[in-house]
Amino acid sequence: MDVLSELLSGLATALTPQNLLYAFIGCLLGTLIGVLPGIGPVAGVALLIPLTLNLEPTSAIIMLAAIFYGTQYGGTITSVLLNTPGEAASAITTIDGYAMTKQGRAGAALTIAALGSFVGGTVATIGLVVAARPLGDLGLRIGPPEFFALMVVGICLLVALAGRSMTRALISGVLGLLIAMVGIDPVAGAPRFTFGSERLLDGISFVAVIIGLFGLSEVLAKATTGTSRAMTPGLRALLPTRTDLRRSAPAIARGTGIGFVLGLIPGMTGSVSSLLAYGAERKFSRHRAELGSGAVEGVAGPETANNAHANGALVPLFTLGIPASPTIAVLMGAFLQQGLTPGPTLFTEHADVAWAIIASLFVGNVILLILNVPLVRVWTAILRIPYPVLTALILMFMVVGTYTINFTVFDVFVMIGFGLLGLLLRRLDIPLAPLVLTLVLGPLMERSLRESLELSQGDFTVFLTRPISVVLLVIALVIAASPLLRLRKPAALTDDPEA
Amino acid sequence: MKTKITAVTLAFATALTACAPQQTGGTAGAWPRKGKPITLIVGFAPGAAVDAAARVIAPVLEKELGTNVEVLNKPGAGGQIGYTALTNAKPDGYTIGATGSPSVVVSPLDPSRGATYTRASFLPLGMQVLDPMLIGVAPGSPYTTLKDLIEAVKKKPKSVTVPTTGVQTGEHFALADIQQRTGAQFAPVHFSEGASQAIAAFLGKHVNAYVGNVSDVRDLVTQGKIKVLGVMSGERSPFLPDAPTFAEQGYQIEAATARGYSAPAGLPADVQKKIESALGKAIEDPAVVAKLKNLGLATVYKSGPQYTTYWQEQESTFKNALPLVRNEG
Amino acid sequence: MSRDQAYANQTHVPDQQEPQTHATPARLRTATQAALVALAVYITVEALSLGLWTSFGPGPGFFPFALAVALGVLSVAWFAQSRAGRETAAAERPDLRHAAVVLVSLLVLAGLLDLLGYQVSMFLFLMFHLKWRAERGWALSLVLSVAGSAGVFHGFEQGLLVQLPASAIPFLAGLGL
Repeated sequence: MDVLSELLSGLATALTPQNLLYAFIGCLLGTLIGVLPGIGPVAGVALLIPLTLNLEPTSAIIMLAAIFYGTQYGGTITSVLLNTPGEAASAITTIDGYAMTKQGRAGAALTIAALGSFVGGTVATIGLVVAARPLGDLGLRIGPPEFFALMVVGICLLVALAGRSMTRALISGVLGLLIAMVGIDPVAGAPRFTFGSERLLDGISFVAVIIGLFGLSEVLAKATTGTSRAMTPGLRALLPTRTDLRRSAPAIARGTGIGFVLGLIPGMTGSVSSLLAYGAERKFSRHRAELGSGAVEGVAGPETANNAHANGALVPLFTLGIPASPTIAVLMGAFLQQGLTPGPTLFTEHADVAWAIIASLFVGNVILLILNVPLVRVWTAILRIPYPVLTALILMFMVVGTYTINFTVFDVFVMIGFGLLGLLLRRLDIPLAPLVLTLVLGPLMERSLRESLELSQGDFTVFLTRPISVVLLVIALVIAASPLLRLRKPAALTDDPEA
Repeated sequence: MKTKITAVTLAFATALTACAPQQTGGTAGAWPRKGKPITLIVGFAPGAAVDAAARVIAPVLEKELGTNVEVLNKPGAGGQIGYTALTNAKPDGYTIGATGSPSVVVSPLDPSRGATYTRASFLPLGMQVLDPMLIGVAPGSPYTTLKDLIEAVKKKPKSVTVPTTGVQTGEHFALADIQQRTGAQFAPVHFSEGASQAIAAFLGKHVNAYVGNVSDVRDLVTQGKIKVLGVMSGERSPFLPDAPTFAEQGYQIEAATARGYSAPAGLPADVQKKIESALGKAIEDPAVVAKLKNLGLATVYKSGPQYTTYWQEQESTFKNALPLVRNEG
Repeated sequence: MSRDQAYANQTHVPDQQEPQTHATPARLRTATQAALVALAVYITVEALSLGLWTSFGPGPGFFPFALAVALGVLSVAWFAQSRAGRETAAAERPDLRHAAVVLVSLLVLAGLLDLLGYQVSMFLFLMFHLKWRAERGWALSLVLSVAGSAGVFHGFEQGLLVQLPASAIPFLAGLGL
């Protein structure tokens, strides 16, 4: 009850008209910035920090949290409408999101994404309120060996992403891991596979890769000559149907669970959550056969996980003072700026501020929902542009987006190169999703493997002597072996067009 | 149809301009160009002292210079990935970075790391803090004094795992120093993204003891989550008055991480002057000093030239100790 | 020069494809398989020189080595499968002329970006795609091209404090391009 009354007084602070206004402006600006190419949540929030500098602590942090929600949702909008992910976490949404757009159901996809984000964010915030302390300790129990085992589970979900051929899916996965190797070795510091190029020391930009692989290769593969494609959504298609909602519910539930739990683990990124949520849909959804060709679960799962992760990641910040992701770090910067040290002492020394922030997370989620559902109509209007014209604008979008990652034309060339590679892979029927999955998981997997072996001084049994890691590895084994166990796949799965 | 397209385009253009953030101040000089942001590269994951100090100083620098200062984390390889990005950047004043000794000093000295920079690739702008090293254990640990721990490790080498923030970082050197002087060989686990990962591993009891900076543990000490066995400084840290030093317990070992800010070498003289003075003002700003104190960081300001000299001294010190932390595989 | 080098042998292939077949592009597939095996060999050699094991534990070459072995095995397996005729039909055949035009125009744009600056090169790029490829009217093409080049440039600069490339040619730079 104590918690409840503190939360209520926090809500009272967050709900002053002034703070509501800040939250509203933050959400709106965040969404606009998020829609712009190349500006993901981290850059978006950093860009708008100056706006909050002169506000009092609570208002400033409320506004920042709102900006953060907004930018994240903005990235989803471009993924769904233009097949151009603004950031890593919404990369996987392009697969089914854009497929829905092609069917004229962009509005439904965007509404479901907003709904899922709302549910995921809200549930994760409730988790934060109810059980921050034990949950923080739970996250800590994931040491390097457990982290590695978790990554193995993720890699095993790759079998779910396979299209017609497991071999080709695995090749795609290995290619993703190899691309992730380029750059300075993150442990010992030796440059790897950089071909003597200084530009490659920093690795290959993830956003450039996914924009090329998904966005550009799609443009290259689709002949646009003459006729414009019928993508204009009918008015009715703006809203999800009852079937959409019913089908999304389990996906949203799974996404919430995955995102929240992974968010608790220091060092995990939001893109891992959204990718694993997508993998989980491919594996466990009742409609898994339709995934890849515009199934609503493919949008609901990852988008929910993404937001649940972001809020779950606040648990280690509040209980341990450890920011679990770059975006949370920006938020932490705002705390420091206001003279607040994130960590458990925040609740004892500045309880009012801490609760106001938590309350504002709820408020931010609600505003995100009520702001974006009406705006869906505005965004989908972009699709009324005839396809050949839209293609030109999308190409411009992609060039600006990749250039602004590191402000070098080099990344634009990388994007073009991966567009070509994407075309080749599509032609050879090699699925793209495994490559993206391993590209994200690769560095985390390598780092945790090497840390684990340092911890055990070279003894590989370390993964088998720790309970959590054993359980995870067994889960991985079951997932990997499931295609063998299930003697016949659902008929529809065998001719999955795109994975 | 056409009008519709134009309308959408116009909407886009207005959206672009409408969300222009208010700009603060703005100087008339050639540098910084008004509105062009300065990137401050931090070579470690968010959350630990390097990152926190940079985030505290960024807005003050912003005011001094009249343009945005954005902190960018590039963690990995014990700082090397960030340092590489910094030294590869154009020396135009729009990219600066946090540099920490020993990592920045040592990484170019070991050829196996293949670093693309040397000391000459950096232009030290100013030093901010000196953060002593310490060793500590979890409250329930069987080791209650430094002597206990060191004797136990001496008896059974590599039996105690400790986190570092990467190969050849301050923690790694401190461990080598302990080994050289006492014969106790710890087993380091390199969390090459920075102290936040190392702390998480310690709190999760994945390692047996903690080696790190005073600022890492100050908050943990008040929560009773760590028992500091010894601080590697000449006198007790003002932030941990109850923690004994190594010297008090008969071990003559001192180690600290020195953190400052540098630019890529080759900065135009006028830009260097501007940025050095702005940085000096920001570091010594009373509000910044107070915020750092909150984080367990004592401000020890050294100007650009002083920091350069300090860097050179550090280089010769660490050159001698390097064989201890070289990979012999 | 990212992994482009490694792909170099593959990327030439699409241009010289067999004409008019809608079946599996067999030659393209075999070439890719060969390239993947070559890539695996190259990475194995590189990984060995990076060092598989060090005194700290697994070295920089450890992970790449394991991956290279996996890639080699998988590529050979794929080859064997396709020889055994267990391949299903591939995806729809792309319009290569369209793909080539888009690719070349992008490469030209990227090549000119630092030289002519964003505004001029993007204006030309958009005009090319809108006026000549999409066959739109002059007015619309001009409006959109100006918005996408100068409009975006100034919007980003003023509104977002993000600098898109300015021209390296003094004359153009002097004009504010």
